[in-house]
Amino acid sequence: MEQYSFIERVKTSFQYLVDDYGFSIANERYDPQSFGNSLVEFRSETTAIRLILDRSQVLVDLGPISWNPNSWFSLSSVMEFLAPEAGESAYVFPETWESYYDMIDWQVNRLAHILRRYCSLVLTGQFDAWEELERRRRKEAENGYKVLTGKDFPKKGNVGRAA
Amino acid sequence: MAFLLQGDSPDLNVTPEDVASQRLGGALLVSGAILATGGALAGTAGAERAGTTAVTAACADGDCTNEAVAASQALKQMTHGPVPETMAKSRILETDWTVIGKYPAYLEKAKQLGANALNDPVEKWNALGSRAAQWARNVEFLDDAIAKGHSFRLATEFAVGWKEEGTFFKKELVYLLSKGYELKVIDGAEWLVKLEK
Repeated sequence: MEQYSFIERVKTSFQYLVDDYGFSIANERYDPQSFGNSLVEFRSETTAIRLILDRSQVLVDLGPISWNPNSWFSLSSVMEFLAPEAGESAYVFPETWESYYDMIDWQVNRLAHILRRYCSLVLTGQFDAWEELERRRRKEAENGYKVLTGKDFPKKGNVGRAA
Repeated sequence: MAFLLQGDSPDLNVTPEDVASQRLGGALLVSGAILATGGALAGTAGAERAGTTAVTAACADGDCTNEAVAASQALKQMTHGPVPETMAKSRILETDWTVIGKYPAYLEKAKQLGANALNDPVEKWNALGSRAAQWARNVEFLDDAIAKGHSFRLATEFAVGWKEEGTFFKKELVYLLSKGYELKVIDGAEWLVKLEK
């Protein structure tokens, strides 16, 4: 039986990033001893897009290539900003499955469609509201933390965003 | 293919060298009295030790209340921060560490710090068969670390994880907060720490 490869599936489903938007693959990684976690990172001259398989959940991170990858934004953040009328969540994680790898493929294909449909400004390198996204993300975390704990969110750490 | 869907529901860079210097320079605040760790101290840590020695000597009469308050205030000034942050730092330094965060950051940070992290091989993880079973395995891991008194180092910023509804990392954050852990920023790194034992 052919071994499943998240990396190859991503390359196929996101080939349009290379063909239509000038991205190339900058990094790929597979950790079989850590849940089979994997990633594929695409980069253009300005923008990075990273597909991550994290504990069987497929995630998309986007951000300026000049920022630390740890500070890039989830597809849900970008979609909420660019397409608030979308009416669908960026991430949908199946609760049960008959075929584990079909379940992963379903997420990959869905995200490939969503990214292309709602995030063309990012794909073309014209998106310039990263700082605003950062401000909103921070505010949301502050509010959520306050609601859950009744305590104030601590001041930000001194780790820079520079890559 | 068939699977059920559920609607959306419900870092920071300490190096080994940093860790070593923090462990040497750490001060532990317990019940109003300040106890400094032994070993070679430098900079403000040395001043902390000097202050502690004075407190110890002055407490010979058995009543350390005034001395403890004074030393606490002095320590606060020396560390240029509120006393709670010092308590959190001390707590972190006296516990073992578990790293949580998004992939691949959590793996890299755990390796860098020599810390604990959830790591199951792909075959074991896939065989669990449902998201609920996977989360149960995740909770088992967190509960084990909690039982051992670990502090949790965030390899991915809290705000980044908080924004991602339904992910395991977001669920871990909510779970640990529900268990009484607090978010603290220590030397630029984010930690979830339980100050009340």
